[in-house]
Amino acid sequence: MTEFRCEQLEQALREDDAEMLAAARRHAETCGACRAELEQWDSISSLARSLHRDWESPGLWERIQESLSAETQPKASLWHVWRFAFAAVAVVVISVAVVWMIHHPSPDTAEGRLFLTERALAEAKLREDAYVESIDKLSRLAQPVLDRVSSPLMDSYREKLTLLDTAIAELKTEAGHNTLNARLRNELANLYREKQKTLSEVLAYANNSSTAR
Amino acid sequence: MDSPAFPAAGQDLAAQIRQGSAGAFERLYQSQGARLKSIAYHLLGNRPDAEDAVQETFLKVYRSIGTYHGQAAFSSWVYRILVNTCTDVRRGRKRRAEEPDNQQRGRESSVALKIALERALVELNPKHRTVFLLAEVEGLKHSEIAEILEIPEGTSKNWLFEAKQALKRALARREKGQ
Repeated sequence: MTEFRCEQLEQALREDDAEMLAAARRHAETCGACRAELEQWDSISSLARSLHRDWESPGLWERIQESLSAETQPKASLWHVWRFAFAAVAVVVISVAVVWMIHHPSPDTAEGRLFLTERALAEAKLREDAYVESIDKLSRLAQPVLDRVSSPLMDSYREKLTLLDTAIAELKTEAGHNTLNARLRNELANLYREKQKTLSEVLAYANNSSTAR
Repeated sequence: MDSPAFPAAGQDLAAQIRQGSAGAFERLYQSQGARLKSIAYHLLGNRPDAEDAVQETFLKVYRSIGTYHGQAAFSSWVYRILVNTCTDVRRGRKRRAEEPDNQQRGRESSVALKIALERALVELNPKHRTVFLLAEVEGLKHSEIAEILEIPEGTSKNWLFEAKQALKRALARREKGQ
């Protein structure tokens, strides 16, 4: 074994070589300079070990757990976001559809109520013809009474029947231009019904008057 | 390959963490939390930042466990993440290093040399401080430090020598100043 020399101390410390350091310590037993150098070196190492810091960290593990849990959440959260988005889109689509249907009703619903089909028009005309036929018969019976009887009530019946005839004539003209208009047909039917009723009342008044006499 | 600080084989612990075992994370914290905090404290200079760095390290372990394939000891890999996290924190936050608080200062007034060493350590350049911290304060081997810092083992030895030389000079200046 070769003798350890002072100038080798730096190499021993730098390389942290166990064998060289053991030789340096043996050399230091008889070398004051190397012993002082090694003591300083060891002193720093000894002090360094006391620098280890340890302190209680209440809640740190819980924080770590929470952050780890949060880290695993994004997939679920993303699904919640998408689910909410799908729901929101569905609500919007349904709302738009409802609004569109309100503003663009199908022919089977609103148009069906406002306008008659060809078949319904034919049925309405049959009903009108039946009214006209009935009114003609009643008119033939009532006309003598209307011409003969003079009373305030009969005057009002005459005036009413004149107004009804005027209204029926106007509506028939208008309905002729809008043959499928259900509103006009209904109003016309009402006027016919009212004229039929008025004529019946005139006849009833005449019958009551003759009986009373 | 794993440090004695990882009694359960590090590779097994890594495998359990890869499978998402919460228990494995807890074992990692129980066995390494104190050491991780201590390293972070010396690299960042204060306890809150140190705890944040440890928390961040666990998150990074979780996020990147898929990239760990046993190329280094699991412990070295975890410490590397911590050291890199602390480096990022130092660069990013640029917080003032926390001076030892008054209570600590009073309690440690009898060990002035220790305080002087701690202050001198703060003044070291980061690579020297890190190696000194891992080797002398936390007792890691040069082979482990080399893995953690991804440097050759010889470089680790060199940086430690330079660190201790600088500390020795700093302590000598302090003695002359008194």
